[in-house]
Amino acid sequence: MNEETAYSSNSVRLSPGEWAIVLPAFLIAVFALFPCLWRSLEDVPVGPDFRLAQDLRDDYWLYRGCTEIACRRCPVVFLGDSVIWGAYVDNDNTLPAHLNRALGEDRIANLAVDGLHNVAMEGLMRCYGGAIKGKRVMLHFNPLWMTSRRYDLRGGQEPRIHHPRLIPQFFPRIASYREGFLTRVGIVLERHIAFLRLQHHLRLCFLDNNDVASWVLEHPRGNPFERFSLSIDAAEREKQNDDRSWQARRIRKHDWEWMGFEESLQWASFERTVDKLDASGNEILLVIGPFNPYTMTDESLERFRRVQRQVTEWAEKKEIPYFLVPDLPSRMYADASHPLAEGYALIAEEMLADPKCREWMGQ
Amino acid sequence: MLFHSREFLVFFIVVYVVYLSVKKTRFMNLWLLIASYFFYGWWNPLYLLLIVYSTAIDYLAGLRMAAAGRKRAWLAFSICNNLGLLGFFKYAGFVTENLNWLLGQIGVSYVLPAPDVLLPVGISFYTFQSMSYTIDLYRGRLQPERSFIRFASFVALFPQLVAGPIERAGALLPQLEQGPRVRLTDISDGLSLFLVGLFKKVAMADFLARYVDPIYEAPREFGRASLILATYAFAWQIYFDFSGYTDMARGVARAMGLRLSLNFNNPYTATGLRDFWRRWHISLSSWFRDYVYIPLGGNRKGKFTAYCNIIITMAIAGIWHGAAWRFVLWGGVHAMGVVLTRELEGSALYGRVPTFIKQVLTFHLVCLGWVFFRARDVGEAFLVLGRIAGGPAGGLREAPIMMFVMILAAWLYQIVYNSSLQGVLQWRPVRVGLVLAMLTYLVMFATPAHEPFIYFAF
Repeated sequence: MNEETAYSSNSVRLSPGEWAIVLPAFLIAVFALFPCLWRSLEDVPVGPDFRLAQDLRDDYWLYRGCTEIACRRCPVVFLGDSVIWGAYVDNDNTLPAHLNRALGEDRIANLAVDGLHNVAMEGLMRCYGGAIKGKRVMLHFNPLWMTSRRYDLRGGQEPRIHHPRLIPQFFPRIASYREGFLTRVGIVLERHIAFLRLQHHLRLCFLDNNDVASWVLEHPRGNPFERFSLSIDAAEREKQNDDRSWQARRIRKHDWEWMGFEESLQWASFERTVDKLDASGNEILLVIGPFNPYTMTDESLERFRRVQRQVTEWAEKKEIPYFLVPDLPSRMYADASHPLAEGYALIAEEMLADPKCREWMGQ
Repeated sequence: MLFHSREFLVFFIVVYVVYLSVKKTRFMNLWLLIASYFFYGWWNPLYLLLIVYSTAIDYLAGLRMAAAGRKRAWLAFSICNNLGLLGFFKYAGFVTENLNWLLGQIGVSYVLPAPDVLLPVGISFYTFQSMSYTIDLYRGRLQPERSFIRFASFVALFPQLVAGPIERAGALLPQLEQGPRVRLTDISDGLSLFLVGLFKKVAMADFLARYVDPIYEAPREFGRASLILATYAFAWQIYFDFSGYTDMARGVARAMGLRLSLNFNNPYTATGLRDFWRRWHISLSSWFRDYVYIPLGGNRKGKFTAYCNIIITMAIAGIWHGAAWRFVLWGGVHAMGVVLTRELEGSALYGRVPTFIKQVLTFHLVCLGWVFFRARDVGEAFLVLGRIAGGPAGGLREAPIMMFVMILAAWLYQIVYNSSLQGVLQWRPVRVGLVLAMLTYLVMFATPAHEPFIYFAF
């Protein structure tokens, strides 16, 4: 057996000099040039108010790109979770859509993301929200995230934490989050390496969130490489209005414990998000609620009113204009926090009737 | 800890940095041993007790064979100990199960309790490696290793600990003694080998497994075409899986300046079963040749005895793979194939058969063996064969076109590599292009599923 055979049974063998050229060139091409090139060539047609498709809610590459476009086109951006994104309504019935219609133009970009609790929102703004500078920002505060230890990510193991890739991986420690060390390191790397986000983006948009092998097994005759294109359709299209109220969904009354402001992780993150947006030269309008008072026991409702008061007092102290969403009629809620289309219309009406809001919006 | 995991990447970076600084010192083997035991203990720290015990016994046996002169007794002690360990941990359940069946057949109602023991990863590999040391020592081919640390490093060397190649003491111990020299070419060769192995495992083997597994887990639900395709796919899956592991193991060792033996040499280009076993799991087949087949008499006592020796050796090789009758039958198929090949090779007619035809026939004979290897038990293996031979055509699981493309590309590459056109594959643009293609696929399109290697189960 000669030396060549003993080395291996193939000819794929590069010399030190060849590796010294090939490997750095490959790494530069993939990790530096490819993301820049893709970003500059990719066409992301979003709807007029930038509401992203629900399937793409974890696509932070796309979110960053959309945020940059939205900040160029719209004077106001609306940040929040599924309540603002519009979990039970179609594109025409979200709160930003109602406001835009009432204002007669697409002034407000819906940059809310489904499932974006406050801790995740802080991560989103810190890592991918750099374009939101010197803007008018409507910032939603959803009391839901402070209702219990579980929502506050402190109550044992949370079966499903939304947006785990946005929450702090090491400090502060989040009791509900139980990922392994190397997964956490991988997530931190993804925040700093654009290619990793692009890879996730491509799989999400073109391969149904699969790798090539999985996609091929599901589509035996398909060519996965044919699917990649520089134009993606990121706008939400499939969502239909779901008009069932919380009673029709048989949601029972809860005795929420409500977290104290000093101890709440979600609140601490929310405060830091406000500070970050403020430091970036944004003008903030805080939108507190909506929240369904009919799904609470009397004791819990009392505690909820205290939370509302504390938030408004905090906003006043920080001189942040706010709009406290009034209680809607019971039939207008889909669950504990999401309104139905009719509810959003009413909130928009109330906001535009509020002098502080009108003034903030420059009306 | 799998080679294609992030844990291994972190582990290897730490180990390698320290290794480079201690490789010419007396701490090298100690460091290798610590790293190897950490690597092995990652699966289950309890396994370490067994490997330390096995190592200590063979180390002691080696020293006593040199000192006391009762070489045969110490060799017997070493072999009994190794086979005893292997027998207890690997075959106790199998033996009990068969004894219970036998007792049932003769009307005894007593049922032996099934032993509840964990099969330590890689036990078949390191016991064979360790055993080859005492046998070679007995044969006078080696001097006893005086350093326990070095001997333990030889037995437990992490790149090849859990699935080979099964190294001979005569090849590896001197490398550990001299302190390897790590040149730039070792690093580049190691990188090349590792990349090819990683691609074979992640892009090819794991992909094929996802087609094969559902079919072989429920063969009754599938028709002839799917079972044939799944068998072909498994043939390539196990090749990519095991040779991928070996490439990575050799790459890791190479980067450390250590040379491990070639374990696979394009086995599906073999022109006969004898040729196949010179190309497939070479370190195991040569182990059985040197320590079983030749001591049995090899081909020195006539054709009939030689064929009996082949059948015995292949049956043992079969059961080495796993404690189940299907592995014995797999060995039996190969034994028959080797005997048949030897007979055919002696005939003038066979010499005129085109190489390509021989390769195709050999591949199909190997595939026949793989049915026993992959099926869950003997009954299912015959069920698969029955359905392939005359079962319904329905129950089709469509095979991805990409699967055919991959297999065809790999096969063509090997054909060309073994032909006079090999020079084309050594042309720089081809080599660089292949490296870039593999890197691109791995980095951009593949997700390591962290599927264990098939041979870890043995």
